[in-house]
Amino acid sequence: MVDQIRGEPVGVELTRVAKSYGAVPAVRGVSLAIEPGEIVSLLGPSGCGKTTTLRIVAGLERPDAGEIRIGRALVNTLPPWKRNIGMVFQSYALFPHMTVAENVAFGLRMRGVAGATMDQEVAAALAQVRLGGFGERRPSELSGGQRQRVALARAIVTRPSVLLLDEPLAALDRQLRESMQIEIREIQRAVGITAIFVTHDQEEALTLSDRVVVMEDGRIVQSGTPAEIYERPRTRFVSDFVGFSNVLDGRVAEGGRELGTVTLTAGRLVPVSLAPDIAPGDEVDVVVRPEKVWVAAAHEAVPTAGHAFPGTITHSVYMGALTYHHVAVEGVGRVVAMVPNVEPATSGTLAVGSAVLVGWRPESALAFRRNDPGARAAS
Amino acid sequence: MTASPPRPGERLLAGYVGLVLLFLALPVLIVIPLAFSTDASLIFPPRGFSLKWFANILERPEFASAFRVSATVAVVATSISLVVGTLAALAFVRYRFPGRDTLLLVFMTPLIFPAIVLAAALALVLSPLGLLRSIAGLVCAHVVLTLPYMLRTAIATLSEIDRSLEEAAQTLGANRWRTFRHVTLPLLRPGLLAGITFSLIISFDEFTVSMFLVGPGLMTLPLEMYNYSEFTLDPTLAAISTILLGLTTIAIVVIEKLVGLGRQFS
Repeated sequence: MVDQIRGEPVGVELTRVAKSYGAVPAVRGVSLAIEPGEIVSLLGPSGCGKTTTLRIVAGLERPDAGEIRIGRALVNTLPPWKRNIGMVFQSYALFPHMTVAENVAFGLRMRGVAGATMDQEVAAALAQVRLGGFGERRPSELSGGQRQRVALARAIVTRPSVLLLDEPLAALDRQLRESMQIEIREIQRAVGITAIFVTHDQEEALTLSDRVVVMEDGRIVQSGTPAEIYERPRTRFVSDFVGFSNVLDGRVAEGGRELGTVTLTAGRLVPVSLAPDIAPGDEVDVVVRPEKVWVAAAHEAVPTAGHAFPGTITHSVYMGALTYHHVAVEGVGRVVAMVPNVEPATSGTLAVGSAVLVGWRPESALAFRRNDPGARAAS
Repeated sequence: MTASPPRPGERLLAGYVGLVLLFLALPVLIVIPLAFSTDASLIFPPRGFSLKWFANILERPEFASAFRVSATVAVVATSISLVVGTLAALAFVRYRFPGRDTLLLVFMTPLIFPAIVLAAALALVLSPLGLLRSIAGLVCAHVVLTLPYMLRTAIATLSEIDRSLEEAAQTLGANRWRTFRHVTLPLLRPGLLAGITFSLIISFDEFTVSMFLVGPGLMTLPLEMYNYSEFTLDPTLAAISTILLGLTTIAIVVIEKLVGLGRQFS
């Protein structure tokens, strides 16, 4: 059994874990250390190995190679029922032949907890997910969000060492998903449990995690705080997967250190921040996030010194809190800039057709070598 | 449902369906009034009401003994089929192994093979084993015959059970046995009950195969009834049939109430 003092979170450590299905590798050498009490997300497109990794931690899949530790214990050969974990499945996997209370009590019963103690703990867990009084219902009588909360209560009632969540919110609609994100986070903090969750939704990963682990093709490509992942993506794949970006292609003019310049195919020389291993002459894609691009009416003062490119607004998308301006910039191409609507958007200084200046800080424009395997998939 | 008057086509269809149902049910339903007839010959409609044919069953010990044989064989064969069928279904649904499709086909052959071929084959196999004219021999044969029904309903039900339910149980601390006991089995129960019902009926009703395996001193009820009919064709047979019809109807109604038998055919 995984030794654990009740309420004392433990860490999880994966060392060079690999798993193939037949000839198809699913996980290729994943090493990852998760601190006690930390909530970590495994983020990536479908087929990147994130779910397999989670299932290996749960003991539902046996790795071909590598070590898995929960706390200090090596659990490689330990079956799931001896790992003291709690897991929330994408389909919730609530037992249809049991009531809500029986579902939540299942883990306690398996641990020999019974009678009044069991009833008390079940009631407390249901109260924690705001489902007090729902104990006698059947799962089929609940809404998606309620089922999700029952699954969560069932997973935490046994005070597991680690909470594993497999795309827990994928089946919920947007509004419910956002409130559940906050709720999961609060419960995780209140219980003080180590948690790993799998998601393909970058927003969910950023809001819910202490640390985001981006996976591609069975490997970890980057691991860091949400801000690190978002602001300093290490590869083009990570950049594309986490948020929408402008992509401008060109050739490195000046490099060799962190900041340099790139001559864009469209003609202009722009300041950029270079990924390591990039040298002058390399073909690159320059990636700039819309919110890092400033736009000013042509006659206004430029917000930062240097690099300001004249352009014309061709198209604006008003989103309420903010507006996306599409700007045709000579020698650069089309650049999308996100502008928070501090002034009323109706004031008209940034109307379609008006001449503007756009620019960005050199460290906000990241140059990645072209043909980086990552596709320009998600936004 | 709208209450608009039926169109001519619908009326025709309703008439056709009614005729088919009548055709299917009539021979069975005609048995019931005959069982209560006063006549010694099978005349329809009966000219009076009596229970003497039911009394006649009791006076003939061979019927009671044949009923005991049939019931014993049905219950024992069904029990074996239940265990073997459930385990086999678990293997077929949960695992992919070489020869899986072929093996499944082998299990299902008794449904397709002519019963007479199976009867001869079983007689030839059981004879050297000394199992001819024994309850054990009948049970062996009936396991072969009932297993496909049990297996089919078990596989159908098991395929419907979401694998993540079992995985959830395991992550909650249930080992394989407790997962089966507390999650898989309760969800499998409706399918197994339906399989048991089919199996009991198939076994109790079996004629062709049993004929090769019975002998003096060991008769199943259908064969005893057939033997009786060779000498006397009176409403005693109708009375037995009526009892069997009643028992079957009760079984099916109970199962239907419990689990919904109709689902097993979808």
